[in-house]
Amino acid sequence: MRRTTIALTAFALLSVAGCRPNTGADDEDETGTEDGGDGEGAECTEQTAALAPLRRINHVQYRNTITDLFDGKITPGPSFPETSHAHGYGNDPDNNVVSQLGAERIMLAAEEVAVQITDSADELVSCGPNQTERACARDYIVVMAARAFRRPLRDGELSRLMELYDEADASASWQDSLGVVFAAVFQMPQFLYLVEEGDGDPPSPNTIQLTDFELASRLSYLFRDSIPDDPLFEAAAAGQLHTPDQLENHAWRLIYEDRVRAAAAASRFARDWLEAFPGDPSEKDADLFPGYDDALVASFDEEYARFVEHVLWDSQGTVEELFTSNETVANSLLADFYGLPGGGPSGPDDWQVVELHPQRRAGLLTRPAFLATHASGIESSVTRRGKAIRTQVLCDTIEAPPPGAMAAAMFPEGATQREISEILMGDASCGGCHALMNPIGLGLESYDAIGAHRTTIKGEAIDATGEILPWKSEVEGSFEGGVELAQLLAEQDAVRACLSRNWIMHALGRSTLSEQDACTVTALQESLGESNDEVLGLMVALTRTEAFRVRQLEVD
Amino acid sequence: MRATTTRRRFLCGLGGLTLGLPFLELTASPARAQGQAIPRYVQFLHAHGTYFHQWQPAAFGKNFQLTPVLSPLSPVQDDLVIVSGAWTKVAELNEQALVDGHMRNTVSVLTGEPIFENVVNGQHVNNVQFGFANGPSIDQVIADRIRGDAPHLSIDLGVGVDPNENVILHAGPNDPVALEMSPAAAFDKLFTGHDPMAQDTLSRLRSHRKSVLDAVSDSMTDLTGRLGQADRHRLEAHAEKIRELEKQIDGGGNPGNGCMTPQLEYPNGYQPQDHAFVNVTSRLMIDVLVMALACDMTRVGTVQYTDVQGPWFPWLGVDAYMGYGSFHDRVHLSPGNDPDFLKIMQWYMEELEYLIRRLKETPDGDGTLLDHSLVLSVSEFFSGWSHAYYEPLPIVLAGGACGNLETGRHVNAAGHSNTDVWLSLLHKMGQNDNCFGWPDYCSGPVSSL
Repeated sequence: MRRTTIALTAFALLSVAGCRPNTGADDEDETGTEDGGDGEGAECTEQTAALAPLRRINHVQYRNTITDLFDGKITPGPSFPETSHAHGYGNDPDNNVVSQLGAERIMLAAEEVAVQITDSADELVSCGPNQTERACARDYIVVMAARAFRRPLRDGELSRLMELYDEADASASWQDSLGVVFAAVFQMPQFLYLVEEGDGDPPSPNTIQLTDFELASRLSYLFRDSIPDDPLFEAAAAGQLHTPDQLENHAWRLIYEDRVRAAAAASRFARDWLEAFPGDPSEKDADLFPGYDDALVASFDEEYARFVEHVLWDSQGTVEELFTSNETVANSLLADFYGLPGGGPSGPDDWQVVELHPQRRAGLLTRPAFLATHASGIESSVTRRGKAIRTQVLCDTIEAPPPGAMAAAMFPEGATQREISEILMGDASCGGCHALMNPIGLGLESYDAIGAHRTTIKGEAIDATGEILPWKSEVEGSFEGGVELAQLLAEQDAVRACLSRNWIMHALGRSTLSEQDACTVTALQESLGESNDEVLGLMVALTRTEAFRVRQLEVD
Repeated sequence: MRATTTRRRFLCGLGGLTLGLPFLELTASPARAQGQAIPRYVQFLHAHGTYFHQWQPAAFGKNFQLTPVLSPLSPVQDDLVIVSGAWTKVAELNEQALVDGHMRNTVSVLTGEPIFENVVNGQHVNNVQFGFANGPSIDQVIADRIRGDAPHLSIDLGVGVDPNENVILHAGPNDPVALEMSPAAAFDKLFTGHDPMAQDTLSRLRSHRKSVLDAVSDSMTDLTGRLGQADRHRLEAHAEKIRELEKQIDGGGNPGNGCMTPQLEYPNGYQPQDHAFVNVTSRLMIDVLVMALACDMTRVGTVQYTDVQGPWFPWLGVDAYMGYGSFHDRVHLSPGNDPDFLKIMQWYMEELEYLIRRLKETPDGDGTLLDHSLVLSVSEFFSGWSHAYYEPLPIVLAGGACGNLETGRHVNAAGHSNTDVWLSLLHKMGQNDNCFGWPDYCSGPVSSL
């Protein structure tokens, strides 16, 4: 399926131009900025609906949902399928396809929950003195299935669940029958998918206006990765959850009243955005990096999340700070990793805000979770690091390598990353694209394959000069080292536009944006001007847009 | 020493029905005792192409010599057909999508289809999207045709680290098949069964699975209202998976006389996805799959080696990092004479030899499981170094295919698309399709096969 028209145009232009920066960009390129949607020059007088594919809750959302549904009395089991990251955001439907094995795992996970419901049914279900067991079970199902579906049950739904109950009850206890009902509920699409069907007359045949309950779910799964809380359900039931003000107020409420869930949700976005998944320690050479074990990798992960939370909740929370802060939150393992003086965190569970070397570390791009991900088992990878910054921070597209590309260039044994880059950039078929990536990555050569700072490579002093060559995002500049790179990026409007785009893609489960989304991007970017560059302000600004409330079904 | 065999033509049928018996109560049915055989189709998929300098035998026909890469297959040479020359022509349609060389080939190699997002109203368009394939892979098509009453449509097992890097199998358009990565989980699913007398909460709950799945199936039909086409497609595919779970409960199968519970032994500290245990996982998965086939739990199975970044092959005694960032980097950067790379590709062929040997050792009716199986071994490309789709695939076939495959040959398929070879496989499985995959690349079955 073709999802965008602008992407096609952009591609046609790219394939003519190849990846050639500095070509004195022809005028046509101005319209072809990557996914479209940077909004520059667009007339944003009219708000626009947005495509939002049907999203299945991912494994993080599943765990939170089960936990919150039962107030922590039921523990989600291990079977629910893990979300892949092969296709970008963890919210993208392509990463949450229900395969045959997936359907089986969802069934096993539902049974893991249902068994606990049966075993603790006497505590979960309250029963009046004159009620039959069936009536009590029915009351419980009415309440809990509605919460699981995140809206009141419809006529046929309750009767279907009660038929299942009665069928089981013919040969089983009421507690068993209740478990059977929930084994079904947690496999039903009304639970597994964030269904957005609207009701009443649609604004146009190709759009639907989300109901208040559907908006409650959009808010809740965006800002807390879980089911709506009680105030959201109450507001939806009262019809008080569809104006921009109502939605914005609840978004801020979730951010500040439920900080644990909100910070985890924001951090999950930040991880997906920069693809910071350091992964299994066995991916790195144990001889070269003897300390790179499960505990350190887990610390990298947690540091990344805690850093995002620290900046957004406990500091100024600006885009600039996200890129340039020389603070982080570290435990004892990270204090050693960063070479901090003693007297800091006392153990792996003691997390403290610490200051890092101001000439060595600045913001997200110098966090080891990012640097270790975009590296190989033994060395940094200037291509992967440069590509991540080019595509995720600047929203520039890099063309795929041509067929047979891997055999196009040869490198002398033991060549450094800079030597490899020079060979690639000098090659006619490789040079165009690699010039957009490698010079950026070369500026991060002071960080090795696990993100540790270094001053020499094989006894030679490191040359950490780097350069961003101009391309569609129109960002350019030379820099030396990660701190200067971070400062250069932190000044750019294009970086803020790109962050806006990424937040929209994450929120709506999209893999690309189109020209049609340009005004939504602009609205988010402009919100930064009003909120003193605050990232949370940008995130919340989405809730005020038409794109948040009106879902478009098909590409126009 | 080569065994000489006089091959009988087996006429395979889809078998009688043994309804819903727990695994342990299954015994060979009268139909099987009379020698009616069931056809099986097995895939062995290894990552990263092969050691391309030393793969293709020089001579065609019966008098071919196994090359260094293929030499581990010498005990079963007479059971093989080497097919050289066919390549994944359809992958040229993926050339402009924003995918790396792996995905360009992986989505198309067994489906013969381009990327799903690049097909609009049945026409190919150049799009920057990447994604899954636009249609099912050959194994899933064969599975649909020959499933009979086997409880599982297919059993698809992964050996390695990250299956998401390497999605090859597809159930339909935009519908990837996930691989089971844990031998213990595969064993439990196939061979543990549920004791109808057990009284614990979970067992009692599971005795209601059929009613539960019925209710879930019914609820799927409620969501057909205001959704986009792609949304409906996803939901329909999901609903199909629920129906398939119901079939697993209903399915009976028709176990052969070689059916036994596989005996799995796990070494100390075993973790299925640890680099150091990939060789152990490989054997465990093959053992599980062979018995799943012998017991007619399924008639189609795949063992896929998934990891494009590694593994490190410590059991081969090759230098773990070889001076490169990963095995992947080494494949890209070392086109020349690399004895370790040869060793690694030989290891894959050792595992293939083990699979073929296990099929051959397993009695099935009045022959062996191998007599009734068609085995396809292939990688997503020929040379990991170039990552190019336009090089001939390293295809090895094995087994009697119920008397339909004449083995002990090297067949020249030059000029053919890989999908022509897959079409030939469909014919070997008793089907009579005219084309498989994207129609532009169909030129008919490989006649010499």
